[in-house]
Amino acid sequence: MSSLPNDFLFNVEMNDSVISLSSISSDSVSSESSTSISDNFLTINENDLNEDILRKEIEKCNQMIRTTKECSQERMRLVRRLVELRFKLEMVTEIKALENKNQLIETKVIFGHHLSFVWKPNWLENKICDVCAKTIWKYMHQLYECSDCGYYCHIFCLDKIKRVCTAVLASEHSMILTITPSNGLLSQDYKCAECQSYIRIRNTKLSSEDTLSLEARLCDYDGKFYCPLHHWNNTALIPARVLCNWQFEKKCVSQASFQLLNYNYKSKMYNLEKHNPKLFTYLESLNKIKNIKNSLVKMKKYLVLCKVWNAQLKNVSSRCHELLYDSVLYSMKDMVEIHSGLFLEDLQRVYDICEKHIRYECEICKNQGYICELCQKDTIIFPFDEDAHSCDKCDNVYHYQCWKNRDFCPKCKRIKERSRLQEV
Amino acid sequence: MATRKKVLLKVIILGDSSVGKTSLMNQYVNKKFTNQYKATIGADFLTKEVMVDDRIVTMQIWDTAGQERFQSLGVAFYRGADCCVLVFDVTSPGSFKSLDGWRDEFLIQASPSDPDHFPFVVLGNKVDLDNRAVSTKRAQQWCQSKNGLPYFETSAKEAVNVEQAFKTIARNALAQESDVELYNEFPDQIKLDGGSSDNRSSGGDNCAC
Repeated sequence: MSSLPNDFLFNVEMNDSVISLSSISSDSVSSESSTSISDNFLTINENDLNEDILRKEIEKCNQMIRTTKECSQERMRLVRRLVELRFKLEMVTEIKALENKNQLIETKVIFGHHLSFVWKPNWLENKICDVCAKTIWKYMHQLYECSDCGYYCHIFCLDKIKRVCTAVLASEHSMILTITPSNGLLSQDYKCAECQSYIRIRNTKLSSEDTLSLEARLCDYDGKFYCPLHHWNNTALIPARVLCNWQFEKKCVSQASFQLLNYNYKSKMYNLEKHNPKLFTYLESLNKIKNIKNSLVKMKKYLVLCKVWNAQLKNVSSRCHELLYDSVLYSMKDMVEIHSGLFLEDLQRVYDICEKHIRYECEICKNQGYICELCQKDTIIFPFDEDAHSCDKCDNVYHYQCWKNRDFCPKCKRIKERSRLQEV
Repeated sequence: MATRKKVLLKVIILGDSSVGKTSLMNQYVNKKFTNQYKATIGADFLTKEVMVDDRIVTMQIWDTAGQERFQSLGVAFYRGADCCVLVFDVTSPGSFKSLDGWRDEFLIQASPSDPDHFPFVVLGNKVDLDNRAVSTKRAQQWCQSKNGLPYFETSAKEAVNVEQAFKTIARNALAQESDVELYNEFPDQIKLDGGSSDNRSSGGDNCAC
């Protein structure tokens, strides 16, 4: 298997040259007589696609090419033949691989990764192997991909995997929320945190390739040092920096951290209010978001019960749906959007849609508003109104000012009285 | 003039949980009954067009949740109601006792202009069942004590008395509605009078004599 990629590489190169050669020769071929030796020597039964025969045939063809004159018609023809033979060999091996498909299709479980064989890579760029940090040329190399975390590696790097699957790490460990908790290189015994190979602080005066491969690189996320093989100077947003300092500067992280941070980018796991309540006093937008979210929770009571809303739910954008069912937890993506102002914009839009439905459009929702029984004004008020106060016990809603003057809930009083009467 | 106008009557059905509010409404509007119990959550309404004394009226019947835990939303729809239907289960004395509470709550939240004469209609439902626990006499006595409310014994399952009960509900609601209408028409009439009197006075001014 391992020899195959090299063959194939040669194959591809030859292919290119042959196309140009054959296009030149095409007009002159017909004029020459068909007395060429290649037709006599290189004959194999097209149906008998045996790997060994093909290999022998290729060898023979190779030798024959060397005996021919440079740039001669004969050589061109032989080269074309060689390419054809190599293609045929490739076909045979592929068919053979397909026969062993079941073995390949089986997902391999290594360090929590669920690695499956990628048959036809259809991405535009070549991936980089997470084990050896070298390019996986998509036309040459066969590769495995982890279906959980998107870890890629060469088929021949499979045995050298050391990193635990990010999906497993993410589910078993909580995120580090202190900024770069570094203990220095000494605490790691001058070894890479992932592969245990020796590393050192790079001396810029000695800029040889040798030191580069031993360079100790600090991961800003977990504060550990890594070797260049496991720290590619990729940058990512650091949750701790965002939560503590509202700092949105990307920092260099190790490959393991990079994958973890990307994996968790969209998961809502940060309770801003719990972790850094001061943010709400310093950031006006965050405070606004909090208020709108509180209102939406109260609106949801109406929307969940409303058959009109539920019937038109399909027309509501998924973003609206997502924001409506948002909790107090935020993802890194949310925080980036809060920083850019996009989040508040979207949230405000959702609020407007919901308010329009409840307050103006829906006959059922509108009629399930409240009338302040303390002032008896005819205007309908809703729990999510700014000047409304909901009773904690009976949910009845009053104007905040009316309630403040009274300071007790008349409905609760009635309920209490009624239950007392029933007991009697 | 008013007799040809389309009128919307708002009727609210109240009562404890599982007394048959939804069933009564469904029997009246859709002529359907199901034995399966499904608690109403929040509130909902159905509309039905009926003829009452040569007038086409649209009844907007509001069905409400009887269970307290499903009454988490407001009852702004009580406002402007034309009739309130109080339903109890003749096999459940508790549901009969609760009528007082439902009536009080309705009057407070709806705050009609004349609470003593607001048209309530009382329905004792499930008379098809054998294990009756609230006698007709007891129910009638209670209705008498509240300024003589109309009382019907119904069965939503067998469609007993449902049609008659709602006919009375519609008629009483219409009576309430026309009272309101009278008030509404007053300003118009004054305006017209004012206009015509203006014309007259101006005419008077123009008149040479």
